[in-house]
Amino acid sequence: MSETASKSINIFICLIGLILLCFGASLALAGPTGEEVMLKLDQRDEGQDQVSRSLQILINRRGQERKRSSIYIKKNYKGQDGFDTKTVIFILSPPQVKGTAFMNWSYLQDDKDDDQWLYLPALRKVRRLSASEKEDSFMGTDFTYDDMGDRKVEEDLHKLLRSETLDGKECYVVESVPKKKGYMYSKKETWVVRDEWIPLRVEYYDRKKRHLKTLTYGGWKELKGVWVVGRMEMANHQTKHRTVLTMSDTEVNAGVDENTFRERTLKKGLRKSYFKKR
Amino acid sequence: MIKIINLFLDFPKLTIAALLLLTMFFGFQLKNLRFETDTNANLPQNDPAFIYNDLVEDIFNSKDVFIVSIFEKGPEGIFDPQTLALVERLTERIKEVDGVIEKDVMSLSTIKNIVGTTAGFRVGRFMKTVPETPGEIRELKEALYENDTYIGSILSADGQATSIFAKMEEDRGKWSGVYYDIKKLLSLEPAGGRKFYVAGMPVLEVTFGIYMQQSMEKMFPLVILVIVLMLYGVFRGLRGVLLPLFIVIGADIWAMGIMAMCGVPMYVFSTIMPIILMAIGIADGIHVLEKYYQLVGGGLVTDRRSIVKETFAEMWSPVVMTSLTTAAGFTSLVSNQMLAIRAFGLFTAVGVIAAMIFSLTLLPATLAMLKAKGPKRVKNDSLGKSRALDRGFFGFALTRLGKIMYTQRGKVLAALAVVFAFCLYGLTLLTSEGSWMETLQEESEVRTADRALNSKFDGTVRLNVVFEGVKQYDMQSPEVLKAMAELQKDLARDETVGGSISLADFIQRMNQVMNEGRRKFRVVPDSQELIAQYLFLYSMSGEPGDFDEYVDYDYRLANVIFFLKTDHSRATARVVDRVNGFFSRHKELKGLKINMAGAGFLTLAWVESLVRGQLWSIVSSLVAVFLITSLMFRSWAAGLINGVSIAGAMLINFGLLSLAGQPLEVSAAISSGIIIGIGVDYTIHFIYRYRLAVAQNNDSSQATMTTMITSGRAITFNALVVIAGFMVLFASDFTPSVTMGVHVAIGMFVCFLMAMTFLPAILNTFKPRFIFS
Repeated sequence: MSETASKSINIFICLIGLILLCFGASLALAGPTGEEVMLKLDQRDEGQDQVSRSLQILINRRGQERKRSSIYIKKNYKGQDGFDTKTVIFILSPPQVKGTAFMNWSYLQDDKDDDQWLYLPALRKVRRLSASEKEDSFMGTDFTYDDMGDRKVEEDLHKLLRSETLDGKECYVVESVPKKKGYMYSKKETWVVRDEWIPLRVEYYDRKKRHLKTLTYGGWKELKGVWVVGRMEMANHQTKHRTVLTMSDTEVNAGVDENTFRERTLKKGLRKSYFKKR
Repeated sequence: MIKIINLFLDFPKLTIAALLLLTMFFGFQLKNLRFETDTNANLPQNDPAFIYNDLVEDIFNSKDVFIVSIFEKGPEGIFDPQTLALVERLTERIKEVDGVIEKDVMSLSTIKNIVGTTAGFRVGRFMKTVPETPGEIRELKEALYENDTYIGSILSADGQATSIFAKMEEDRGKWSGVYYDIKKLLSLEPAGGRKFYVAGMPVLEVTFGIYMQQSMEKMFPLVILVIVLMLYGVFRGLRGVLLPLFIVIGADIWAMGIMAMCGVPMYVFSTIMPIILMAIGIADGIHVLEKYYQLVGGGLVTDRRSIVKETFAEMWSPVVMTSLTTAAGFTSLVSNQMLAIRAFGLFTAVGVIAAMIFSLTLLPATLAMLKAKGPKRVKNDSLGKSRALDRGFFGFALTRLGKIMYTQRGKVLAALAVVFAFCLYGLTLLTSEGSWMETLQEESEVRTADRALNSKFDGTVRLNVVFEGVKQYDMQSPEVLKAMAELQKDLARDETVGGSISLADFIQRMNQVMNEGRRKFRVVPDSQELIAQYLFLYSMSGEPGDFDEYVDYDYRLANVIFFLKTDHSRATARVVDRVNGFFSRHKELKGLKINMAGAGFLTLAWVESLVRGQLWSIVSSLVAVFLITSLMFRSWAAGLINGVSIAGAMLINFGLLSLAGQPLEVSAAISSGIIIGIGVDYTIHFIYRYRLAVAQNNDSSQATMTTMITSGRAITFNALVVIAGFMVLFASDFTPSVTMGVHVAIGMFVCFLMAMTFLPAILNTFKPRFIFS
């Protein structure tokens, strides 16, 4: 190849590169829409299942704490048989509620309520709970069921506010306003890490548009290509009550058995070996 | 001293100008005088009961509440869509009022029910949305009566009234703002057939200040009028009226000006200071003028300067003595636990000293400039000379009394001894009583609201019984919860207790709904695990803060709230005794500690500590009287006679009070300091004059008569003016002021009687050496 030819090819490549760069830059400048960010967040790969030791600390305004430790097992069905996820929680301590177990089945179908079961050892009976309200507190914490991820993306109108760095990570800040009136939050702002599509912070505003709660995520780790969270803290600014959830010994794609999510398991508890394995 | 007074006499214009300048200076300070409405100043600062109460308020977020009640007489009571919508609307608006803690507003639209489900139970608001159809309303009504936890507090048993409870932020300065904001909200609502009431202890505290100021504005002109009339009645001359009046007004300006300079605000309680100061500051002027008129009428001295000189030669000493003892009486209030009372005592003492300064400067200066002229009663007396003094009604009566005190002295003392013994017996029956609610008049808005609420609800006054366990989760123990429930039942037998609420109520309700809602399962279950798991189940649908008011976060402390129908300390004392009795019977709860708090308990603690404190200050005032008068007359016997005669007056005072079946109230206890302070004036004046008379002719019979018609006359006039001045307090809208007026008026009368009977009788009987040397 002649020198001029190769030169002109080089120039051509440079030009193309430049055009692509400009295009890319303009794309990046325009960025995704708020809704796209929230969909990416929602559809992030969470693996097939997840097993963690979870410590729940409730802290009141005087700094007093209530601690509860449990085993947390979740399986993602991704629409298989209509299921979205199945979750079980086995409480290990404090001793008075040891052996208490809670199970939740959630469905992909929009209008289908979750099914929930609770086993209280003192009553020796597994009881089916009536569907919780989305606005109900999740097991007496500062989280509501919606805060735990039950809220559907299409229920809100999303707007990308800006990009900014949080904890050294480039984040999109998305504002979400409910489409229907009367929801417990008038507005929610979410910080989503670009590319990884994991949340770092959510700010909640009450019906009167006053700052209500802040949810902070921390300790993100990538396991087998799946991002898992290590710590979630929800602080209610109005009641000055806080909930800290920490997840440790987390495993993903551990091959959780289908039979774990049965009423029988709630009552019998997990076999000792189940814990030993992890 | 007399030389200094003569100086004022020599330079009258300069003296008056200086006084005027000083008074203008203090008057100018008045613009800095601040009115303090924070009612904390009315509470004892370091009382353990109050410190513990703050702790309880902090731990359980348990505070006194503003109560807004809606009364609806209709056949359906409050169960119609409009009223229920109104409850919801008002609840939301009250939440937005500045000073109200939003999440701590409680009403029909916020309270939660525990309902049985296939899963056990779940927690949800009784009224998620305002019911509109008759069916929905019936459902709400049935739910509220089935789970009767809130019957008596939020909803009346007959369904004709409902209440909204609003908790206040710590800052008491915002409370009156909250009160007016709520009143405004209510005024915007169409009342229709409804009635609105705003009640609760915070309302009482807020309106308290308003009532007190209003009644002061009414009484100030009244006390001036009374003093003018009394002075005219006694002296019948312009100078006899104007000079003492200038003295007390000047003393008021000085006292308040100095208070402003010290940066001390006018507390609700100290608003009676100017009035009281007027009634007592008049004393020195009366004694001095009485002596002056006696000299003018006596006709022995005619030169006006000599008359004034002689007046003060005799009077300066008793004037200084009596002012000091009166000031000491008020200063004894400085030991009081209430900041407002301390300020009142201190600055009234300052005012008394100011009145003394005026009496020793303004009087000699003006009298020296005015032509010596007596009042009509002296001038018109053709016989002239000193004989005029035993004429007229007072002259006649005092002469007779003097005779009796000399000839019948033994019988008088014996009679008094019987009275003392009788009163001493009465004293042993004395009980204390106090109530914030009763500080306001029967028809006042607050008490009307309180009565209305007490007729429909459990009660507006709270008494908290705090269970203190040793370790975490102690309050989940079945024994403790059962004791709680039993205590609630036991106390409900007292008529003062309208209702109560505790963690046990909620546990019992949970147990009931877990057992198909059967009534017999409304008990505390026997297993601690079960109780813990009920609470866990509750947390599945409840909120983390739902039980904050009843149990602390560790389940180590629990708060049982009792609603009392009254805040009278005697009624509360009875309930407190019942609580203590309950725990001494239940030995199985030994590890548990019990403490009490809440407005009801605080009123009790407040009354007891104030009354106890006041009794101590009576004792210390008596000791002060003994020491000061011993020093003045340079004789222990003199101190003893003064002290005993005042102590006797106090004994009669409290003894009669008790024999009349009246309890000792806070304002009565406080008036004792005032009575001692003024009462000792009489004994000092009397003894001083008596000693002079004895020194002149060494005849106790003659001395008694002379003292009676001279000093006795001044004492009588003084007593009349002071009693009339304090009677002005009867016109107050504020019950403690009225009580204080009654007590001081009676107390002064007793002191007067003691000075005119006990004193001459005892002096004539024992002929103490400091007089008959």
